[in-house]
Amino acid sequence: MRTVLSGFLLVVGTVVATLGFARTDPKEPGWRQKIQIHYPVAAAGLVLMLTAIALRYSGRVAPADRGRNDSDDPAAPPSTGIDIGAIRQALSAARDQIRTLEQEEGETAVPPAAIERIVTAHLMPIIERRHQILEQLGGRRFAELFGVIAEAERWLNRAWSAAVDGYPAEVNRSLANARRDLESALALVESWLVPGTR
Amino acid sequence: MSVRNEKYPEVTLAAIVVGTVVGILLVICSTYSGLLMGFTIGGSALAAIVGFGILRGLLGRGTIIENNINQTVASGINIATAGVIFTIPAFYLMDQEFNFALAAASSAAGAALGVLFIIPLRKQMIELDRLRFPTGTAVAAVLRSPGAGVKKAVVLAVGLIVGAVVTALTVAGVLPKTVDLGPLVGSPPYVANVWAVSVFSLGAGYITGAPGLVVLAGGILAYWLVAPLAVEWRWVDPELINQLRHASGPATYQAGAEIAQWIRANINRPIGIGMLVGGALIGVLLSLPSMGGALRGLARAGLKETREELPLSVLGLGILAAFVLLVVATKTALPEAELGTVLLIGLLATVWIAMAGLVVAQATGMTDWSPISGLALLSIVVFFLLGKEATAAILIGAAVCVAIGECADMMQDLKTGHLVGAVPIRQQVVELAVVAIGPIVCLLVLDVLARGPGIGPDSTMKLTAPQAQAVVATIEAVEGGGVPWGKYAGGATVGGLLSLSGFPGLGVLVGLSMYLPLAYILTYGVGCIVQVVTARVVGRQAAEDWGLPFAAGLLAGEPLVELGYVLYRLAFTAAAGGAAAS
Repeated sequence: MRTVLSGFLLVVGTVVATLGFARTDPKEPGWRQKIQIHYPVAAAGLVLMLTAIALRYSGRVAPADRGRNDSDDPAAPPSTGIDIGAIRQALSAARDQIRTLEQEEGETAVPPAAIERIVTAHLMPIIERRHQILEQLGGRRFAELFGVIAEAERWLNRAWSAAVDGYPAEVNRSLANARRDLESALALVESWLVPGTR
Repeated sequence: MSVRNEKYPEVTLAAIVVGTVVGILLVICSTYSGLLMGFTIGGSALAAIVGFGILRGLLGRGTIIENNINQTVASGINIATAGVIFTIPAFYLMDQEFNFALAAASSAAGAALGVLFIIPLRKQMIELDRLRFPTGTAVAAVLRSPGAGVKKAVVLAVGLIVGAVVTALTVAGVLPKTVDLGPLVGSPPYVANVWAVSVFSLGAGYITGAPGLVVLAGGILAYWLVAPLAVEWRWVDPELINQLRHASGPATYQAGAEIAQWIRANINRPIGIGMLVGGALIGVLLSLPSMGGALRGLARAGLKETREELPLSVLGLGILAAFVLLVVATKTALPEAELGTVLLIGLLATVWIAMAGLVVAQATGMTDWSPISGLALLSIVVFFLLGKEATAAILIGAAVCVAIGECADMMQDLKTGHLVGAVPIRQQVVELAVVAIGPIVCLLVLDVLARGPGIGPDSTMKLTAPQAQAVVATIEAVEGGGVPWGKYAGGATVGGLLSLSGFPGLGVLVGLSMYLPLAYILTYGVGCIVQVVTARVVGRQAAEDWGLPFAAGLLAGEPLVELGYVLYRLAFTAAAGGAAAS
């Protein structure tokens, strides 16, 4: 209900404020008088928008309070609001898949589809939940974690390209780099699960 | 597929040479089409296709990431055209002399600043915000097509053919460029209900998906709610209202279209530009914690075994060098001005480039549209008021315009690079190495065309430079004291609040929807809706796997035909010139 009301006020406020500001052009004759009429309209629109924003943020107070320790205090572990364990599981699965491909690499060429599967099956589900993760972890931790995950993803993309182009040495090197980044991401997540390690 | 054990080629001489040649060819065609018809040709997708043809087809080589370097070079050279032809032809239109070296120096400085300022934001926009950058995503689909399987390559080819055929039919006049549904549905004549026949917009909308629906909603609010109210309350030029009253039959819709055009130019556009700037700035403030994390990551990247990003120290030095070049160009254009004033103008121009570049990169990342012309006009207004002199304002406007184009292009290329696994620093270095070529070639072509067919508003002249006419009109308006500051400031406040509302980038998206013509927003919106419906019906993965290559084909098909058309026009002009000479 709060979300619907906030959205409605935001739309109405935007329209009213836009209409108010639409009449503030100094090149029009009598613009000073028009401004006296239209600035109050614009101000009313802005008030509606501010109310919408206040409603929206007040709705977030509970989760924000719950996850207060998640923000930017490096020593505090994140709250249980987000399933960090699931992230750890997905990252571990991706790393293990890469290890398997690295071991197979010596025997046969790695098929590009197998590399793509690691991204779509293990990394994408985490990436798609990034907005919730950002809200829970706070900007700094989110950037640390997702910066490393995105690098791993880019190395996997490079391994895919090299596999398509037929460069096995590059496939191997890129997979190793992707695994290294995923291990960094895992270390980061694990440090948050054990209080006081960071 | 042969298996090779040598090093994986990425930055090669072949990729750079092919990219440079394609880029220069695109600059020539874009300069001509921009002066004649007011549009430039998008280079990334074309360069990827042509690069494949040359590198793989003719030279029998060319890896995916090598072709990515080729398209990075070509688009980096080509994108500068938009900035130069938007601003510099104003000198010809005002019948004013200008110094070629000065124009080249300021445009090149702007190009370098654009790339240097946007590089530190790669992590934030591509890795953390994961902005879609539809053209960058489409180019990646083209580059990945050899490995994506035959079926997906066929889907991409079908998209490309459909895109090319529809565009060819509109260029030939068989299909209209826009369809006015107003008379059909009986909507009031001043309510814009024109739909663009643009496969590019459709494809971009599909790739953007659900987030693009905000642009559609904003466009509907601006054009179908605010505009009719503005007419109802008599805010529009009374002469236009009179024309509408006395019109009958098809002339009614013509008069209505003029009113809609007036509302867009005088209400929606300035408020939209304000919203874009305010929305982007608040967005940046809200992203500061994660941006700090991303920048720390950038600093840490220098400690790794292999460097993946240009270090901040190099970026800083480059920005300083470009700033000095910009100051020298400004001082030469304003010899009477005191050094303090020139330094202030140079500093403001540099800061404005960073800010405007950010706005454009965000807008491009979210929707594929960049409000380059609006921000360039605003720059010219600001710097004309500061320097009180048109020459310096146009030169700085050119620098800003080229810079913000390069910002958007660098980010599109880095997005493509992320998707194909390129090493960012390699793309960044090659883009910086070639970034000055575009403005210089464009200025040379401009000079040749000015001596040949001629550039000017006179109807006997062939090249009317429609975009530069807007620059001249703006300078004249500023001289007359008619800058809509209230609308810019009001728009910025609304945009800032929208971005504060908890929806990422909302201020930028709504600002874009007010700024852009509704015809393209509607077609783009159809693309977004098709994606949402397809994802619901066949599932998200299938919509991505099969819809994306088709949309990428649509995106590539339109510029391909436009390039062919411009080449045809150029050949026709040359033949006509030869016949006249003989």
